[in-house]
Amino acid sequence: MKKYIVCFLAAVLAISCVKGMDPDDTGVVGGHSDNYNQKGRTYMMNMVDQLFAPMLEELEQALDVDSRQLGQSAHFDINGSLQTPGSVWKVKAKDSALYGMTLRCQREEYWTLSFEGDYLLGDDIQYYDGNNVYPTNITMAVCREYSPQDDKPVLGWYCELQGERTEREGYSCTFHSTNTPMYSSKREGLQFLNTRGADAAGWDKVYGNLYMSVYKNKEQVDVCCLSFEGSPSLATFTRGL
Amino acid sequence: MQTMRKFLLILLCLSCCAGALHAQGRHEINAFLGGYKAEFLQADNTDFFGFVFGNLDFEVTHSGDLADLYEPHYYIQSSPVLTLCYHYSINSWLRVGAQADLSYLSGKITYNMGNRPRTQFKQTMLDLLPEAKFMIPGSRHFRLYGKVAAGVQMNMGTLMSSSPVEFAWEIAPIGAEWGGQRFYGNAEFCWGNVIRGIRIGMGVRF
Repeated sequence: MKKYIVCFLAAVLAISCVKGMDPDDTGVVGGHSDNYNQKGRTYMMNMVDQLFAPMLEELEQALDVDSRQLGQSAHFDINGSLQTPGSVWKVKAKDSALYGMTLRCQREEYWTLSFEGDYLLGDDIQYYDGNNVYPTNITMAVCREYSPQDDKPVLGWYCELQGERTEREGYSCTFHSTNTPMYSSKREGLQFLNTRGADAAGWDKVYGNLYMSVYKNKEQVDVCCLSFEGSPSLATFTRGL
Repeated sequence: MQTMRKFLLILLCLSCCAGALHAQGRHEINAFLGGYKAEFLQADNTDFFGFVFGNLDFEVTHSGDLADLYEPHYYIQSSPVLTLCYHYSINSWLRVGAQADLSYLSGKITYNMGNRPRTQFKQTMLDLLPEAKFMIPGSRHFRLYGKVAAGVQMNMGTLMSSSPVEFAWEIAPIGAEWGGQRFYGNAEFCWGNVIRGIRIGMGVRF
């Protein structure tokens, strides 16, 4: 009987020496790279690329529809001319990510865009769960101006915005560009300056600062700023403000 | 990983072949291999199959939202858990005894944002738990059982855990024994903070 027990225990000890016990063979250390703060910059750039710019595109499209005086549109719920103060249009196309967005004319060349709903930021193909869709609330005051320059005037969109977004695990953020009213002579908002025609989708110069406050369970954990001084790729990200 | 899988298959086959018939003894010693430490399930580099079989051939990325930016990320390697049990048969349905578990974790904790430094850890864990095993009536060569255990876990090394000694518990809601009266094989599904997953073993009664 003792021989059986000794053999059994010997087998157990042999098992513990098997190569398969080597932790290097049992798993793979994740290949996550230490991109210090890079993801924060990407997050805020996604706001500009994937939320603010599309909102301006909607306004451009609406002004184009308005200029042709069609009176009706499959994409917009039309209520008078969008150049008339007080008129309000709405995005009614259900396949639009900005379905429900309202466009209100405040005065000549000055509109307020508002959106409230679930919105995707980030690349839903890239990420594992593809579900970076969270409630987002944003109001954007927009002023259109043409700046005289040599051959042709340069279209500029001056945007002053504020909003909030609520995400998982108690995280949320609020964001804004400036507190300066848009109708003052001093414009400090996030300015989209575009030199490629009149298309916000092709904006290639951006000036101004976008601020974001991050909260966890309603307690502020961080304040970040994305600062633009021309080329979007050269935007500076800072945090811990 | 491939070596470990082959080993487990061989263990399973041997346990099925075991068994000359002898008079059943009241003592038994059981050795297991498999399952993963509960801490391993915090890892950002695991998935369901890794949890069950330890297959970690790919990394799970996160969604790039605010939680991904500010929450800690765990990248963990884990050895399977080696378990040694002793039981004494009180009667036909109850066996009492104790188990000892040995395992190893290593890895790092990182943050996407902020000034918090990356933390590395290498931790060896030894669990000691008294336990009770409840046998369900069955045939002489196949029986089901359940098990409960509670005790302590001792952590050694550069710790991922916060404490060198922690409370440890485990439940095996379903396990199966097969083979002869003296030598047998068994497998059980476990849950707790000692081990999670399936482990396979061999035992001897005397």
